[in-house]
Amino acid sequence: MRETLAVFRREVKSLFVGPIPYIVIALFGGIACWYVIHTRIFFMVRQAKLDALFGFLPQLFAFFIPAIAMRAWSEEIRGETIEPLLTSPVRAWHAVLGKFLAGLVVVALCLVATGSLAVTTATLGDLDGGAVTAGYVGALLMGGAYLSVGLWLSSKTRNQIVAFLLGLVICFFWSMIENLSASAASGTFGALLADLSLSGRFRSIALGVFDLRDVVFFLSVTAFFLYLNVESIENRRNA
Amino acid sequence: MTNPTLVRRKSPVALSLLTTAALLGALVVLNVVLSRVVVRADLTEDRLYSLTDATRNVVGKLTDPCRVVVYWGEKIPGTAEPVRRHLRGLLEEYVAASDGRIVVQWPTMDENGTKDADEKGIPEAQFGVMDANERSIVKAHAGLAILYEDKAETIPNLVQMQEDESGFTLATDLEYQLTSRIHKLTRTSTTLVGLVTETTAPRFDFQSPRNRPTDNFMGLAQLLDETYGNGLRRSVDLEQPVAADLTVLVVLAPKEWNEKKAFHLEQFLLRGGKVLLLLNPMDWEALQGRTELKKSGLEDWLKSFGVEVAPGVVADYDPPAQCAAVLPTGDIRRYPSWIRLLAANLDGRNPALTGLGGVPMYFASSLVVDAKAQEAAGRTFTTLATTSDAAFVRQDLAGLTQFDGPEGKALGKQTMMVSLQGKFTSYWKGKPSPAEPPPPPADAAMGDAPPAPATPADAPMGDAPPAPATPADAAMGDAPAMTEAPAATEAPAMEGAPPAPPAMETDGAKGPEGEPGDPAKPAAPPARLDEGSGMLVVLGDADLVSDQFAGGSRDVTAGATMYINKLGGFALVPNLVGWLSGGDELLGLRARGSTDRKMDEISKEKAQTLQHVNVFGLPVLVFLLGLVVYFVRKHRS
Repeated sequence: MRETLAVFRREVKSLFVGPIPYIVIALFGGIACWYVIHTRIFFMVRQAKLDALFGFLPQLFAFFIPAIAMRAWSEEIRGETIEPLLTSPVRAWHAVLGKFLAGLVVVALCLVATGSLAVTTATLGDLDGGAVTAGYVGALLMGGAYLSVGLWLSSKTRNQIVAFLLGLVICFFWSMIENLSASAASGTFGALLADLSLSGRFRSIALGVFDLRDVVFFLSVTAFFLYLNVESIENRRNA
Repeated sequence: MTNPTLVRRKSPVALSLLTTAALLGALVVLNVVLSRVVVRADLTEDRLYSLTDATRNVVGKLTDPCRVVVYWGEKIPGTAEPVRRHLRGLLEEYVAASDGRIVVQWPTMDENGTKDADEKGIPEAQFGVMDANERSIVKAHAGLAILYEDKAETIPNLVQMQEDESGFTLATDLEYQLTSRIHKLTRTSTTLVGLVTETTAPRFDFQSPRNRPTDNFMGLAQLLDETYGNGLRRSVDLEQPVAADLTVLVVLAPKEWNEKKAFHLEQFLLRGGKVLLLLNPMDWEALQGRTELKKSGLEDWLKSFGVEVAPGVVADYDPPAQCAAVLPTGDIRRYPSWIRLLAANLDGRNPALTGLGGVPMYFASSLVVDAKAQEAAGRTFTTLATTSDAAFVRQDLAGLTQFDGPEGKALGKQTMMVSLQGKFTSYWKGKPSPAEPPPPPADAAMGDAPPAPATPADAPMGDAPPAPATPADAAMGDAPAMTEAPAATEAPAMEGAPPAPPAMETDGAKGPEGEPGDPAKPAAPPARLDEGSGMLVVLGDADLVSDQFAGGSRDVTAGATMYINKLGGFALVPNLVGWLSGGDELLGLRARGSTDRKMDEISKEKAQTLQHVNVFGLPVLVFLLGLVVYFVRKHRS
């Protein structure tokens, strides 16, 4: 745990001295609020709900989270700073978990950047605090799943852009799988696709209901890709 | 021969693949196993996705098994999968709350399943699906049937489109639909509710020449039918005395009533009946110029109880208490003549009103209650609903369709719904009953007896022998005062008259389909009362439960579209009926989801400021913070 925290601190420090997280957080908050207010005629509809925001988050995450994750390992591989890490007593899963938690902090701050919308809504109307809390916690779970995918891809290449583009494609496809299940599949296969859909699972939580199945699904996806990430680092160490 | 170096190199990869596959398998198994376990935490403030106490109460009383068969078609798009999961979770809660007496089945929707759904009367629902190039429609069953003993009820469509059309969701009132149907199948109480409506003759149709007269409250009748089943009498005719077994009479938009109808209504009230009277002095059809404004005919009768309907239409100028209209320009304006009774202005102590959000009323009239008259008569009077403090009674109907403001108007709170409970004295006390025939002409008195009435229902009230106390009478605390009917008609009938059973009105003996009662068993009408105790609830609008205002939108004026929220009125009135009947287990369930979560209306300037603060405020701050960190670091280095 101490090793994980050490990696986490190091990652957060190195992240926040650079411009990327600030730009990502600012853009994320700005685009999310712009989408909800302008596209969904927020002040005309006057519903004290954040459904529009939560409906947009899967697509927004699919773009931003690969950007957050892309440099996590690629930068280390390219700058050959991964060698000291691999030869240090820190185990691979400590390093992976530390990087994951640091990325999750950025994801959380991205969500905080949309908080002004929640504050505005709560000021002007009777916002359902429970549903909004569920939505944000669900968003963090979904963000964690996306992030684990992005980190794994980042560990596979020394090129950040490649990691980003691969992450974008996979995350975007995963967020759209629900739509695919609507148009191309029905019955058992459609239900299976829908079950695998991150956005569908998140939509369910964003209604305000924490279902153990949804939570376990997100944690399973996250755990699996973090494991792939650990395997990838271990293979690099053994190579 | 195998190269040992290669094996050493290969084995970590093989091991890695093996462990990855094992982990994946374990996670899949975990998810599959958990897919059968329902553990949910409903974080919504109104517990929108958990069972209400009302439902737990109803299903907790089940004594026999109740089967719920869900017909979920194979062709239902995968986007509806979260809906299926929610439905499964909801039904699991029903199973748990019923202590296992509810059994849920999901039959395979093969040929047999589809046939079974068709036989149960569940139609295929349509689902819009976006393909790569075009929108197509798929049809599939998405309903359920509830089977209890040899009875069955169905919910034909469980899925609906989300408000923003981004996906599917469970029908918002699904819990109400499910619970009310289970309640209907299993109810044992004998509450009888009667509806009194004005019917219009149907247009002649060659294909259906036997069309029955229709009224404007079919939706409400259907809703009450879901609760009371065969305890509901849909078209009580007040030209005849009200059946003694009725508990509650709901009178909807009475128009030009004669004294006889008012008298029968009053007699029901005096016998301990509960009357829910929804007046509709300003109806939509008349205000559209399609019919004339008509009086109810009950004005003087109500006045004798200290209740008057103020002439004019109530307009409310408190924005949250107004319904909104979308103008052709896309702007939203508040329309003052479609008011909303806010939760804060409803009597919170009344179980029928708790949990209700805004109840809309369309061109409603206010009520003026003489409190002193109530006290003098020994009645309790309760104001159940008022407008906001910014209401105004508009006398000039010409300007009714204007989006005007409160300027120059004397604003104040208006009473919209009251209840009177206690002693009522007959409006006809000391007068001949309107149900009696006119006095016989002089020559008839000389010896030509009038022809005998064809049926007891046609018989004048005064000719009837005195009936013993009805069950309603027995329930009354005060002994009913028997009228002193004119001696000329009363004397011969009173002598040695055998006790008659409680009167059954002709229409009251009809089933829901309106078949006539058995003419071979005429029942004597009940004794006339001059005093009695009952309960009367009066509302100044009936449109709130009319079919015309059961959803959708209306153009009020200048192309402005008003969107109608069905939830308020269609929760309020069944709740009131349930409260009056004294045993509605579904109270509180109907209001579910009606909590209004509207944001305050703000000016365009303020909206723009807030837009800028949200879109640019925090992001710019974060960006500036990044710049500060960058320069500090640069400075240090």
